[in-house]
Amino acid sequence: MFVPQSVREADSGRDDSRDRELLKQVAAGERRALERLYFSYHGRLGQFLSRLTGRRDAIDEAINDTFWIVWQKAAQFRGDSRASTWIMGIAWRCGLKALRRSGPLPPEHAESLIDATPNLDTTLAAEELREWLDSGLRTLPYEQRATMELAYFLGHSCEEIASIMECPVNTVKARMFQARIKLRNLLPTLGGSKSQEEVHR
Amino acid sequence: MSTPIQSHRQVWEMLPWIVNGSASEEEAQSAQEHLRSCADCRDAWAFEQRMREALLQARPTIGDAEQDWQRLSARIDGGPTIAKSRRETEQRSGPVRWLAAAVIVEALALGAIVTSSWVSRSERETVATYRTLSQPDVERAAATIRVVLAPEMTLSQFRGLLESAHLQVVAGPGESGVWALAPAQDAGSAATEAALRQLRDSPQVRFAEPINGGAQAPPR
Repeated sequence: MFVPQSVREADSGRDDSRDRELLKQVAAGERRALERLYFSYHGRLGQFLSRLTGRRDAIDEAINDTFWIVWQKAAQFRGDSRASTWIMGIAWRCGLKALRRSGPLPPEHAESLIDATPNLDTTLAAEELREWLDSGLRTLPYEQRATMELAYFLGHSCEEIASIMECPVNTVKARMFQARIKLRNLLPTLGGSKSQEEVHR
Repeated sequence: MSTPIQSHRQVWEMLPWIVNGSASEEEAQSAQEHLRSCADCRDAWAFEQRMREALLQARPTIGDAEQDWQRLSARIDGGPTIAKSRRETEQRSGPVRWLAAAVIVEALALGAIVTSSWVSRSERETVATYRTLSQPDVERAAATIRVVLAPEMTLSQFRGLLESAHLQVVAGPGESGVWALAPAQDAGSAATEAALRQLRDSPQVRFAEPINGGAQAPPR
């Protein structure tokens, strides 16, 4: 019926081995290895941090701080998680500082999103749907937004997200649960016709 | 997360982790069996897949990686310790301290403009002055707010923000990008505070601060 497409199999095997090796080299002071890691992560860090703050300068500074810490602390990576989990954990903490300095994203009102629901009966442009979902995510608290981003976009497991966000696994589950309910009720036709109050009862 | 999934609720909660490939094979198999007989979960599954596909769409690049790398390299070259770097960051404090310095410079400039305007007015008592009919009489307005805009803010967005906050431009932008604003209509300090809140709520406003007492218009 379905075949889960595991992004992790691609990421966690080849990419994680590469990232671990690069972290070792960074720990030995190799700037070139840091550069490779930096360009590999810059896009996803920018995307992740943009879920926390809309300020470009704050995002830039958080990325800079993240890799500054990676440069300083790479020797402390014990290898008991994926390298990306360790780096994203640093980025999360730097992102929280950026959030405190720059203030939250401007709120999105759910009512306006319902009014602007894309027409899913026709061939929906993926970009239109993505933009709509980006707006939908802004109706959520930042912890829920970050959880969604880490899971759907970056492919982290529930346990990894708990490690990144330094919270219990059950907290991650609760955030995911609440975020999915809210998004689903904002766009009920995305999967079918049922609202999630009906579905998960 | 390795225990077999049994209930409808468990399957529903597991779907995001199956979609993103982080669930175990055993969990995915259990969910698959449940989905064969559960239309609600199939519906939820379709939702999860479409949402993930949409979120994985290519997005605009955020930031300039090359430029940011140069900044990080410079930071590494200049600071061997985190403590030192933090001090440097605080000294820079992003744009805030720079902006504060810029505002002070701008305030001095504005003060000079106002003073100069006042001095030259006494000269106008005796010297003929020329104005075009379309020239706005901005000297009547007292600047009450200084603001710095994000570079990506367009003129029409700025105009819209000014209209909604009932503000007008008195001066600017200076070399440091500071605009001086004043209430569009006669209004008290409460109106200025409301306008300030509105400016600060805009993501395209980098900095908005009141000018204490306003840059008073010269007496006529």
